[in-house]
Amino acid sequence: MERAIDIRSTAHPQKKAARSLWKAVLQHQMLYWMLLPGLAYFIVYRYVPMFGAVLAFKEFDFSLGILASPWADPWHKHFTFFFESPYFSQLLTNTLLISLYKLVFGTIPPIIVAVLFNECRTLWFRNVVQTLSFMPHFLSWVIVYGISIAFLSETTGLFNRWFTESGLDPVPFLTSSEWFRSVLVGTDMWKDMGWGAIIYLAAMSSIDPTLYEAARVDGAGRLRMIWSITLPGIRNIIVLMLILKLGHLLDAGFEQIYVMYNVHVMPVSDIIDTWVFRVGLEQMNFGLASAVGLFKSLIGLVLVVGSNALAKRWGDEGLW
Amino acid sequence: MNNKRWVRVLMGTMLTSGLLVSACAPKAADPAATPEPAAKGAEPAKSAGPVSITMARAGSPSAIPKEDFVKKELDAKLGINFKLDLTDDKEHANKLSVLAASQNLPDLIEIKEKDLSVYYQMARNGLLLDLTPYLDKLGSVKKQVGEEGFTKGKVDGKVFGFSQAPRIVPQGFWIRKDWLDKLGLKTPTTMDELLEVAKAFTEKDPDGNGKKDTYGISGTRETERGFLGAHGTTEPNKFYIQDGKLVNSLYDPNMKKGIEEFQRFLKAGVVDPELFTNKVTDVTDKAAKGFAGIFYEQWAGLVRDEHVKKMKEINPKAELVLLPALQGAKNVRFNDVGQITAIIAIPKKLEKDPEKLNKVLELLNYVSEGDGANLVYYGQKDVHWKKEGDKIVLTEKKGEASYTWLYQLTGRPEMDYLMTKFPPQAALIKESSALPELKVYNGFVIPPKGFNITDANRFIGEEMLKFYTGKAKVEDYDAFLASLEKTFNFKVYLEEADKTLKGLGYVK
Repeated sequence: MERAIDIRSTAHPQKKAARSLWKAVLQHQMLYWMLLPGLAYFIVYRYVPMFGAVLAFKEFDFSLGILASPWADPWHKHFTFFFESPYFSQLLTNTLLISLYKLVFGTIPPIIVAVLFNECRTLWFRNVVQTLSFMPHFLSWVIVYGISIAFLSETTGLFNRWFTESGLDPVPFLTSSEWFRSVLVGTDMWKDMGWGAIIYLAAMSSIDPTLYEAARVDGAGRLRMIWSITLPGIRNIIVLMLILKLGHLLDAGFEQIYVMYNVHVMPVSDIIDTWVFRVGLEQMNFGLASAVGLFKSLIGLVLVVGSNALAKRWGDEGLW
Repeated sequence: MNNKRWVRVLMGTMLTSGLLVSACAPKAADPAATPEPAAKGAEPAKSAGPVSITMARAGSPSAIPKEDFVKKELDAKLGINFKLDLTDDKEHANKLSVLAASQNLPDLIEIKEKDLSVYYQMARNGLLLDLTPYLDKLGSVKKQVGEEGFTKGKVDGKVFGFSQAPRIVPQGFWIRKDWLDKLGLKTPTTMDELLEVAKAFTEKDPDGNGKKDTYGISGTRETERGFLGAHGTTEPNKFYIQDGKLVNSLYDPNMKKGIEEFQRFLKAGVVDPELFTNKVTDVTDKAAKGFAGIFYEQWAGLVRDEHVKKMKEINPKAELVLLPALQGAKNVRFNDVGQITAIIAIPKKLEKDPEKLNKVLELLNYVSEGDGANLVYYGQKDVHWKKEGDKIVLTEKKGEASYTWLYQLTGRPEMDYLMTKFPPQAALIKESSALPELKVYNGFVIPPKGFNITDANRFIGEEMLKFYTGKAKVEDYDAFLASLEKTFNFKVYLEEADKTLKGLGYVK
């Protein structure tokens, strides 16, 4: 295509460019047709609902609908309600902390697991273990919570039975503020480690095998090859995944925490989303819920754009 | 180019389905578009077929069997086509708000107590019918739910719905009789004796398995009611009337004594450490397994046939009995007279369809009294139950009628109902219902706008836990109240309660 433009770019460059663009579209019309359903999906399910964000500035009235509902007075009413909650700073801290823990422990272990799978030469063994490792991803949090109770409950849990039988004091894993975040991060890791490894594995499989051969000829051992070929080879993917995850920094995992938290651990586990669920949605305060949603999305947007710019400055490929 | 044609076909299908999706996008339904028979004076216009009535209710959609004899009988008797639209309890409120937002409310609505904010919102947004002009047409319903049923449904002074007949939640302390016998102990009659027994249950191996793996007391967080009740107050943040004055339990001077009492038990290490996180199902399970010897719970969580069976499978000698009220204990639980079981409401749009509205009122009356009531309580006469003298006795086939509660639209007369449904437990239910209880009035109090009751309740729950477990000192209790008022604006709520209950005439 570029070539075609070059040849004809003698006169009326703009008009020509437009015409050739149109021609290109016509020539590849099949591709554009195929783009349509995707576009339609995004417009219908992703862009149109964005107008609902206007609720953040309204007093929602069932009988009037979103557009006709009266404006909130003052306009920042719902935002102030959120910022002025006595729990605001605690919610923000918890959200960021839990999210950061999950970011760190949700990134490094899957890479290690992916490297291990990649190095495993016994194919059947690798396949079996890999399949088993991503199974937990498909369990719902309610089930994971059930499993964690079976292991960690203070009175009936397997671990605490062992502790008490060997004369130790039971540890309140699920009901003490010292342990609870570790339990959250640990179960999250257990659930998604194998699943997270898949994408890194895929990236590894696209590394040019001749690199390994050359390294082997030069006398590199396995560890050296992992360090100098495998890891640099998936660096782009790691950065990409990090940027994507940063956008969700204010989602610390509503489903998991809502299922697992209790009155003992509220101060270390109540996050923005669980608060919004209790105060906003359960109390029919849709304005508040959308205001907080908007707040979260804006911060997420800033984070993604910012980290993308940073990644590019450091010489990696960003998202775009 | 076979390939290309194939792609075109595929594209075509995808595009059409895309169009379909957008066509299904919610449309603002016009409430006036419902068939609108002209109001012809008192006699509503008769239409040909049966009037179809749909009701949105919380419940498992799979609960109704295919052979639904209740529906058949209701339809035949009343000339209607009644459809229960069941949604899982958790999703019910969501569904209602979607239906409300799209102006598509069904002809009858149930709103659970935990979803009351949906009810207030719908009522204030003018989506519900003010029942005041129709009260004289709801005679049987009134007999069932009482005058209070309608009072509880009031929003801003208007009756937009009524609460189903009140349930009985007869909590109390239950104790393992066989454990007492085994350790040679007497049934405790005071708080001190209760503590001694609990200690013995924890330390003296009442189940005889050679391990120290039992606890004295278990239950849910509600167990606090039992201990605070011994000193005349009850769960934090409950309103009751003392010497003609409205009191919030948090401000009752007895609260500190109650806290110290509960603390004594928790410090002694005789209470299940998971007490504050247990759910009723956990308690049922723990009771069956002989995890503790004393439970604070209601009969349904402990001594239903299936629970007893499970308990006896593990230990044939196991026997849970109700502990009579301890000496000096003013109450063992509270009873919220304003408590809403579930609200039943009718959408405003039915005003324009008097024929349907009349049928809806008729239906509500029918299931509240006489034959219709018996149908939804116990099933079909002479099939699922029969009359023996004055009493109703269930037959062998009663299992088939276990889903009929879904049609108990206005509730049921709880005591008679339980006595008939659960003959083996009848004595225990009566006994536990007779335990002293404290009347509270929270159900009537709607949190004022701008007061964040969720945050306040969280604070109360957490701080009280610190007092119970001794992490905070009772001396600091007043400081806790001060920060509750300062940080959470609690006074606003107290004033609202005072105003509401004075308005209703409960407080002078």
